Amino acid sequence: MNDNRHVCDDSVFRKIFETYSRDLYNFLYYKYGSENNPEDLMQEAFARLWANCSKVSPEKAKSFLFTVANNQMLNDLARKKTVLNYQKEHTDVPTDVSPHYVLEETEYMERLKQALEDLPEDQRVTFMMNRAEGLKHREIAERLGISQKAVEKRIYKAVERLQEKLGKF
Amino acid sequence: MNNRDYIEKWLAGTLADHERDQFVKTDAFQSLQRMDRALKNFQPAPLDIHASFEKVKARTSRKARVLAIDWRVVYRIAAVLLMGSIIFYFLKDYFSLDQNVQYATAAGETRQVTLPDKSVMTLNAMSSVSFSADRWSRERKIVLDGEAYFDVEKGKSFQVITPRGQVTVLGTRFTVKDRPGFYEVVCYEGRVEVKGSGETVQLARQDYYRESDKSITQAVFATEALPAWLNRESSFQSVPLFEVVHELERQYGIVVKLEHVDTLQRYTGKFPHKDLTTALQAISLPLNLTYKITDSEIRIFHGE
Repeated sequence: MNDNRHVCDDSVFRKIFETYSRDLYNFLYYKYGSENNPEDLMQEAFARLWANCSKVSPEKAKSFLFTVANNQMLNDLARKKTVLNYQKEHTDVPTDVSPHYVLEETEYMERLKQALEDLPEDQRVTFMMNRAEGLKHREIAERLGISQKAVEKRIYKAVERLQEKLGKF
Repeated sequence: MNNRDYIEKWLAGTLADHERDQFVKTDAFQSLQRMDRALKNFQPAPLDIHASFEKVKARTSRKARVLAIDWRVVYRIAAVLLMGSIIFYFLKDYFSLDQNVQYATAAGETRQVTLPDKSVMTLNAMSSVSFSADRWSRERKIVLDGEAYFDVEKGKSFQVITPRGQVTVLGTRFTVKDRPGFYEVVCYEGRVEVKGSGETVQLARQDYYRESDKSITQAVFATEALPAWLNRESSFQSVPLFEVVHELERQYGIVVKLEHVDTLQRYTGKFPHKDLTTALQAISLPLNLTYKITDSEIRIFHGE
């Protein structure tokens, strides 16, 4: 954001919201799952940014948001189990695609869902940002405030665990 | 190189060609590729950015006011609210309150949904929507991520909100498609108002409005009478190739690799949803491209 105006400025704040709200929302979903209302948590992070708008420059807003979302503010909440949802019903699978794609799809999706939910939070967030959201290692490192090496390590660990849990698939 | 090295390099995208050729033969690669594809279905519910921003504003202004108020008043209000919510809690089973309804489709799937006012919405593959069934009589509003066709009953204004734009109509038939790098609204009947990233525009029957990363196009009387995908075909009129291939991926639940191909070149034509080989031919032949299907991947490239 190449804007030297203040975060307290309405239009600057709106711009920041439009730029980062979806990223932050995805992050919170991967971290806490759908049952902990990621949209609400995202809004809370922005409300905190607004409350601190005079102390945070527009360039620092992104890291402020992810830091707030990532730290203790949420630990006060009574947390529900992490639940991830996927889009169901694989009907109409074309017949000339290899049967490998179709095989036991429902069972596979359930196993994968379970395995993802069971991952440690850090690993799940990093892994999903990379594989589901398609972010580069460098972008993830920047958002989470950790090194690129740590990102790679977490993703690999997650893959290892998932492979173990998925077994024969 | 052992398995771990391969996987780490694959994750980082740094496998050399000969290493890749080795790796794709392994079971590990097959299961990783399958997982990658499945993970694309694990997305959160679509987010209505505008509504969400309003909530943040409401939250921040509420806080500011509370600070200026006498605490005794605050406690009284809290007590009333508490009483209210207790009563509300016991009564809530009598009313179905603010139920957000969600629908989503997987690759290759379409789905027809009848809305509370008998308007009909058809989702194309890999799309999701949500709306509030209880507020429907007051506000006809759909949040969409992907592509859908709407046949709207006459009535109050009907809105379709996607990450890139907002479409408003009264009663009509139209499609909205919001995909990475590509936004399109087509009007099949009546009038449609579109607010994308530019000025608000009005569309009449068979007009379309289109935004890709570089340009905004509006064409008059340029489309067919109904979206082709309702009949298990996808049809395109001078659409960038990348979007055509993405649509193919969504319809067949596959990943296609484009190699040395200009992804911005325009494609006009259509492909069927039930025959992958014909579909690949329909895309590659007119553009002088070649395709190849192997066990592990599907490629489209230039030359032999």
